[in-house]
Amino acid sequence: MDVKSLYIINRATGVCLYHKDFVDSQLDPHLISSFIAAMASFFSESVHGTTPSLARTFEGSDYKILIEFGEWTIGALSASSDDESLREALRRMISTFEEQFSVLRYVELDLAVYSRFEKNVMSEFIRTQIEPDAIIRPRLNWDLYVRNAEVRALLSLLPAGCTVREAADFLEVPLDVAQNLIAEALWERAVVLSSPVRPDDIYQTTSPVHFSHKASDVPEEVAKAMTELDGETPLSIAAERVRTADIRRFLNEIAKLADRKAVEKVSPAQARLVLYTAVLQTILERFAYVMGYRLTRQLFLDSIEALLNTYSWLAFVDLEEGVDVDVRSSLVVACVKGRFSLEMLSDGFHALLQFITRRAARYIGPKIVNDILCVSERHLEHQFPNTAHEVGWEMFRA
Amino acid sequence: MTKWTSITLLILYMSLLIFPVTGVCLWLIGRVDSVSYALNLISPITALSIGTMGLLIFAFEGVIRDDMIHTMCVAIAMGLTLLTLAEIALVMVSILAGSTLFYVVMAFLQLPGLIIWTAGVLGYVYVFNRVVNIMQQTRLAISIISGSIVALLVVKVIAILYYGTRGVIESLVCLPIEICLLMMISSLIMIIWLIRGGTLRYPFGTMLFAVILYAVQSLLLYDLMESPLSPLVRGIAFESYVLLGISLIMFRRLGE
Repeated sequence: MDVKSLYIINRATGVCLYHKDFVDSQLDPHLISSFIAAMASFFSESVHGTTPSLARTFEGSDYKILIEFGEWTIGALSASSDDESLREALRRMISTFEEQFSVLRYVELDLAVYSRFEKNVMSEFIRTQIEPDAIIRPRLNWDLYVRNAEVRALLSLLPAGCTVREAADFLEVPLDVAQNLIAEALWERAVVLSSPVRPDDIYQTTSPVHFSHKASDVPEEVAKAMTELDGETPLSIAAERVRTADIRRFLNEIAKLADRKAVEKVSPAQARLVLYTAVLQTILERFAYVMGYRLTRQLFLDSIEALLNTYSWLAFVDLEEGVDVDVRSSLVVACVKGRFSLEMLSDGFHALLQFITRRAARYIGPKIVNDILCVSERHLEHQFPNTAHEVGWEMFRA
Repeated sequence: MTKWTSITLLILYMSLLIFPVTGVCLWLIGRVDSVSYALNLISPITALSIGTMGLLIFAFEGVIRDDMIHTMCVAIAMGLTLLTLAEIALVMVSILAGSTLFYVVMAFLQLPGLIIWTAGVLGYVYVFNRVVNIMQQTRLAISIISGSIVALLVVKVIAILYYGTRGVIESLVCLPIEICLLMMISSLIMIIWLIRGGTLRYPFGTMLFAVILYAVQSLLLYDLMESPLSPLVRGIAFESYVLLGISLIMFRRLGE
């Protein structure tokens, strides 16, 4: 799990108002909250300049504590990476908390914060993780400590190692209901979820040296595919390049390599960047065949220029020779480090696609643009079977 | 580039009007021969200069590229340059007009230029269809070829009905020329129909009009036995070259 702990601290007193450990933790939340409040206060004193600074992140070797400030609270989230989407979730939590328990700003009262705020935290950090394809694995001796009757009933009924979708089918309940039940189980730490490796997942080889030691027993095709896992190529394409006969077996081998830390899945923002780059490349290539390279380049550059005021980061998306999309390393690094939320990236690229297709429709008409979008969508579904639908394929009314 | 192409386009539009206006004026004063003499000189020069202009505009960026619009424009320009020879030869061998040899020489001189035109246009249609996936490539090829053959048969039947039969060799040598022209016409009509909602239809439409004019000129020359030096034949060829020049400039100005 990416998120480890959540703390909401009174900014003035440093008292921990709410905390939740999503993984096992030995730390005293009040000790941590005092430390965070003290450090935040230290940064806010203008020790190195004329303007006060704001604490953003406390960084450890394997986890980071992300800090966000509310009006009268500090939110701290211990997570494995500093991701903009996590920060957004944290800001939403602080805002909801301040609104719901505004009286705590002035007096200390027992408002049953934990039980009343639980649902919000669960829906923000737990429920969002539960994908239909996630595999449910009950923890050892869950029956000894789980008290929630619904969760107990669920876990006693479910076959081991089934996915969330299979659980919904098995229990004959809608998928949403099953996801809510699993969220409760996860909250109780009665289960762990693991995501299956999917064909459109993007992995990168972490260390070739590490691989040569550990992965000598992997099949030859997977060993070959290691060089293809460059953080930009979906597994479906990597599998095609090494001409694997059985994609399911290939994905299982990749999962094993991921367990050994020989490969790792790229951040969601990086995966989204790769997806949209592929979409842009596919569409531009097709437009270039129909309208010519010069006009297509012109449309692209005009669209970027028109969007720069709203999405300044689009300046890092350019064209090389012909219509080869070039994403500058600054943008890639920002995505790797989680500086961009998925929404921000999707909105920008979606707007760019809209601008390009609208301009192209002026030259070749809406019908041909629609045809090109349909053909491109089919092509992308082959490369990214699970995520291609997330791209806003907006057709024109012909 | 914009200023330069604007001036060229203006000159071409004016040239387009010169033939009908001066032709009518000279016809009114009974000087039709002067039009014919002038066009004998102007037509090859027009074909050469517009062909060269096209090559200057497009061929600098490479002759054959993945960009099929570019390749098609280069093919049109190269075809025009080659047709200059046919235009010059037409005047030189006009003394043989009406003989089998005249038609054989003319057909063989026009054919290379027309083949290059056809290759450019069909190449674009092929890539267009591959990208948009309108129909299978073989079906598309069969449709274009069969459509052209049917149109050719109709034209031939009408020509025979109204102007009588001709010799076998005369009929055979003009077949490839007419097939090439009809294939281009059907392909361009298809493209224009498909992109009818967009402004790219204008350069393609101009090109279609030019090819139709050239086909009419060929029809007059080969099927209706019009004199090769007739002002009508020479004038239509001239108009066709000018329209192709306008089309090339329009392609160049896309997006400006």
